[in-house]
Amino acid sequence: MEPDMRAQGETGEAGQVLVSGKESHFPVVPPRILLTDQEGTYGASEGESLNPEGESILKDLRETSQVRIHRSERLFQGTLRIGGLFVLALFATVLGVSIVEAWPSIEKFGWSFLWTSTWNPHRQIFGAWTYIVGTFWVTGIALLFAIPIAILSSLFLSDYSPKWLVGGVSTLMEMLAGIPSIVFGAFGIIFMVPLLRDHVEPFLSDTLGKHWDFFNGDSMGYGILAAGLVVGIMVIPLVATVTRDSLVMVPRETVEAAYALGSTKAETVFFVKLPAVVPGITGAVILGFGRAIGETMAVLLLIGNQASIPTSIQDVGYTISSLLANTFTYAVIDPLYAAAEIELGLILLVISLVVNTLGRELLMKLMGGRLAGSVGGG
Amino acid sequence: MENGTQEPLVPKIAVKNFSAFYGKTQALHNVDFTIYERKITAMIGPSGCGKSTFLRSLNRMNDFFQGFRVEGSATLDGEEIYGPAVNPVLIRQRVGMVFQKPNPFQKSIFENVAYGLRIQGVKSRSVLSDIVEKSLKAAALWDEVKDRLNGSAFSLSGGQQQRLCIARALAVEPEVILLDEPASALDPISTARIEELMQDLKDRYTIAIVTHNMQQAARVSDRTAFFLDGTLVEVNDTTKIFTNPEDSRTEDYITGRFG
Amino acid sequence: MNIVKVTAGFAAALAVVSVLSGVGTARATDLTISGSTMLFPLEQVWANAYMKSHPGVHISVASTGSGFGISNAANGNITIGASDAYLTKDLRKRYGSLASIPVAFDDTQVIYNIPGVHKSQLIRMDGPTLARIFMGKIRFWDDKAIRAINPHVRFPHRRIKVIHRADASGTTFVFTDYLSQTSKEWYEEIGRDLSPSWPVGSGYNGSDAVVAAVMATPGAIGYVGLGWINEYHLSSMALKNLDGYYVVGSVKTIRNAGFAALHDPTFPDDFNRTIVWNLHGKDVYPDANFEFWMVSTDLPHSTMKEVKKMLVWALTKGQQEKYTVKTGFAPLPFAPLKPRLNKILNRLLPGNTMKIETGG
Repeated sequence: MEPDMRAQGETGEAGQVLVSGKESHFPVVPPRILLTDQEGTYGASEGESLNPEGESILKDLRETSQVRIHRSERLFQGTLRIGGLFVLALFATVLGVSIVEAWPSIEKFGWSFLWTSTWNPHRQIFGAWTYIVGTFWVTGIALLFAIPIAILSSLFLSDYSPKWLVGGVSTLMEMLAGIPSIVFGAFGIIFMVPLLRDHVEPFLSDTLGKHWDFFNGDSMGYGILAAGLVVGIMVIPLVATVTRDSLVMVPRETVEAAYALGSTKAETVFFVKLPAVVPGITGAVILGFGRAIGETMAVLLLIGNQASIPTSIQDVGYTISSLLANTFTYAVIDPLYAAAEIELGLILLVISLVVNTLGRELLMKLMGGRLAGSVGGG
Repeated sequence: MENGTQEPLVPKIAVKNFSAFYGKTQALHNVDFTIYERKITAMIGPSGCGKSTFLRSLNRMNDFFQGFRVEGSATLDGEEIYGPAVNPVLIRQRVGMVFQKPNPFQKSIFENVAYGLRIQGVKSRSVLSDIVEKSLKAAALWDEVKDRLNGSAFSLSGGQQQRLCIARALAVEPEVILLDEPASALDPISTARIEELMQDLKDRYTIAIVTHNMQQAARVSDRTAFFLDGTLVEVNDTTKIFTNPEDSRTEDYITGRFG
Repeated sequence: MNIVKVTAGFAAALAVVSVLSGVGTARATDLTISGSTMLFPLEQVWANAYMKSHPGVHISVASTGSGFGISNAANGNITIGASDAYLTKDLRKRYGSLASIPVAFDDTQVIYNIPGVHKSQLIRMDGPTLARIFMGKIRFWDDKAIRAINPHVRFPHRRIKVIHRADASGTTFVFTDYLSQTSKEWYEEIGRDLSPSWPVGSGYNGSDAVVAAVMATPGAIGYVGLGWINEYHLSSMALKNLDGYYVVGSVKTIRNAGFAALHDPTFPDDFNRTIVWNLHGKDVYPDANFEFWMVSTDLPHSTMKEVKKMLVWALTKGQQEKYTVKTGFAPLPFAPLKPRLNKILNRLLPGNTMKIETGG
C-alpha cells in the first residue's frame, strides 16, 4: 500500500504539471483524461487489497465509465473547438476579404492613402485623411462630453442618490443603452440641431469665437458638434453603467478607512473611491470609444456629411462609417472606388483593434498591481 | 502591563448606560465602561457579542448603517460623542481606527500615509515627508519601505499593509486608536510585530482593541472587557480577568467552555 | 471585384426575398426590379396594378440604389435594374449587355430659405452663378451676381449655406449635369456625378433630409426632385435655359423638355444622352431627366417576353397621372417616343416587333 500511494502521488503531480503545461499550448490530449486516469489507478489498487473477487467487476465498470467520460469529454471539447475556430475563421475571413477587395486601392495609393485628403471618384483619386480626422473629431467630442457626465452621474448614483432613485435611474440607463442609434439621430435633428443653431453656436461665436476662430462659425446646427454630442449621449449609459458597477465593487473597508481618517463624504468619494475605480473607468472609456468610433446612423444624420477638415467646433465634417453608409452602394459600380471604400473600412477595423488592444494592455497594467498585491497580501 | 495599575487612571472615553440598535435589533444593552488614557483596553467575547459594535460606536463608524441609533451617553474627554452639534468627521480625526483586513488605498505608500494630512489641508511637501517618515517609523515599517515610497501600497505583504494602515492612522495624530481585530488576517510573525508595535505606541496613545484571540488580549492589554450577548459582563485589569474573574460566564469563556 | 459582385447579388437577393416572403408559392412568372430609390414608389404602384391585371405574373420591387440596379441587371441577378441616370460611355463599356429604357420623367429643382424674401417672390438663377454658389465662391445672398439676375428682389446680407445630398443620388447627377454644362469652372473642377466631391456645404442622406435641412437653416440653398416640390409645396428657383428663358420646373415644363429632346433628330436611339440644358424652346425646363430601366440583352427568351410585356404596359397604361404624377413624376410623351422604343424592343427581342397600343 505504501509504495502504491507514493507512486500515485507522483502520477498526480506529474499529471498536474502536464495539465498546466497543456493549457497554455494546444491541448492534444484532453487534460481531464489524466485526472480520470489517476482515479482509476487509485480505485484499482484499493480493490486489489480489499476484495480480489469484486476487482474484475469494479475494473470493468470503471473502464467502461472511463471510456464514456473520455467520449463525452472529447465531444464537448470538439464542440468548443469548433465554436472557437469558427470565430477565428470569421475574423480571418472579414480581414482577408477586406484586404483582397481593398487591394486595388492599397496597391495604387500605398501608405499615402492615409494622409491624402482628396477624395474624388471622378478623377480616381482617393485619400482617407479627411474621414479619419472627421472620425476622431466626433469620437473626441463624444468622449469629452460623455466621460465627465457619466462619471458624475455614476458617483451620484452610487453615493448620493436616494435608494428609490437608484433602481429607476439604473433601469433607465440600461434602456437608453438599448435604444437604436437612428432614434438618437432623430432626437439630434429635432432637438440638438435647433438648440445648437439658435442658442449654443451663436453664443459661442459671440463669446469665445471673438478670440478664437476655433469656436466661431456658421451656426448651422448640423456638424461635428451635433454629431459628437449625440454620440456622447449614446456613450453616457455605457460608461456610466460600467463606472457605477466598479464603484459598487470598491471594498467597504476602503471606504471605511477613509472615513476613519476623518474624511468628509466628498473627500472619500473623490480622493479614495474615484482613484480606486480608475481601471474600471478606463475600461468603460475604451468601450465608449469603440461605440463612438463606429457609430454610423446618428452621425450620418447630424454631421453634415461634408468632406472637409473641420477647423472650428461649428464645422461640418464626415466620418468613415457615414461615408460608407452614404455611398458604398454606389461605389460598387467602380472597382477602384469600391476598393477605396473597403480600405476605409479596413482602417476603421485597425483603429478599433489598436485602441482595444492598447486599452486592454493599459487595463492589465493598472489592474495588475492591484491584483498581484491582493494575491500577495492574502 | 506590569506597573500599569500603579499609575493614576485618567478617563479618556466614558460610556454610561449605552445601548445601540440596528433598526429594531438591539446590539448593545446598557453598557457602562471607561477607557483610560495611555492604556491598552482589550475587548473579548464570542462572535456577535457586540464588542465590534461597541468599538465602532466610539468613533461613529456605525453611522453608515441605515437605522443605526444609540441611547445613553458616550463621552470623549467629557464631550458627548453623539451630541447634536457634533460633527462625526471631527470625532474621527481624534479617534482613529485600524480594521480587521488591511485596507490601504489604491495609491502609493507615501500617499496612503499622507492622505489624512492632505485632506486636512497640509500642502507643504517637506512637512508631509517629515510626518510620513515619522509615522512609518512609529509603525515599524520605515526600514522596509523607505526605498519604494512611491510604489503601490498593494505591492506590500499583508502584514506590511496592516502596519501601513497603522502608520496612516498615526499620521493624523489621533488621541485614541481603535483596533478592530487588527491581526486576525495575519500570520504569526506579522501578528507578533503588530503586538510589539502596540506596546511602543502605548506611551503616546490610548488604545482599544477588539480581539478574538484571548492569548493576545492577555499579552497586550492592561484592561480587558468581556462582552456576551450585547452586554458587558465584566471589565477589570487584564491579570484579574484572566486569573480570577468575578463572573462565572467570564471564567467559562476564558477557560474555553464555550465560544 | 468578384466578392463585391457576390455581396451585391446577395444584398439584392435578400431584398427580393424580403419582398417575396409575404407571398408564399412561386408564380409562373417572377420579375424582380431593383435599384433607384427614387423610382421605387412608382415601381411599387406599377407592380401592384400590373399584377392585378396580369394574374400569374409576380413582380418584386426593391430599393437598393442605382449602382446596385445597374450592376445587378448586367450580371443577371435581377430582371430589371432601375437607374436615375443613363449609361455613360464608361458604364456602356463595362456593362455592354445593358439596354436603357426611359420609363418616366423627373427633374431637379433648386430650393432655398432666404430670410426676408417671400415665398411667392420668383427667384431667377443661371448656371454659372449657381455653380459659383455651390463652389463656395459666392458666399452671400446679396452678392452682385445674384442681384444682377434678380433686380427686383431685395436680398439680405446673409451667408449662403449650401445643402447637398450625401448619398449617391440621381437627383445629384441631374443637378451637377446642369452645372457642368453651364459652368466651365464646375465642369473642370468637380464635374457630373451621382456623388461628386462637394467643395463646400453640408450633406444629407435622402431628399427628405435635404428638404428638412433647407427649411430649418436660414440662408440655405439645396436641390430636390419634382415629387418633393409638389409634396411639400416648396417654391423653387427659375433656371435659365439654353434660349435664355428662366423656367420653373413643373410637370408641363419637364414634358416640354422631353418633347424637345425626342423631336431632336440627333438624339441617340439608345437614349444614352442627357436632356439637361441642351434643348431649345421657351417653356423648356433645363434640368429634367429620364428615369431608366436597365435590361440585359442576355436574359432568357421566355423572361424577355414577359419583360417586354411589362415594359409596354408601363410605357402606355403605366404613364397615367394616377401612377406617375401621384408618385412625383411626369408622364412620358408617347408618340415621339414610339419609333425609338421600337428599336430598343427589337434589340431586346430581335425580329419580334410588337404593335404598341397608345396608352393614357
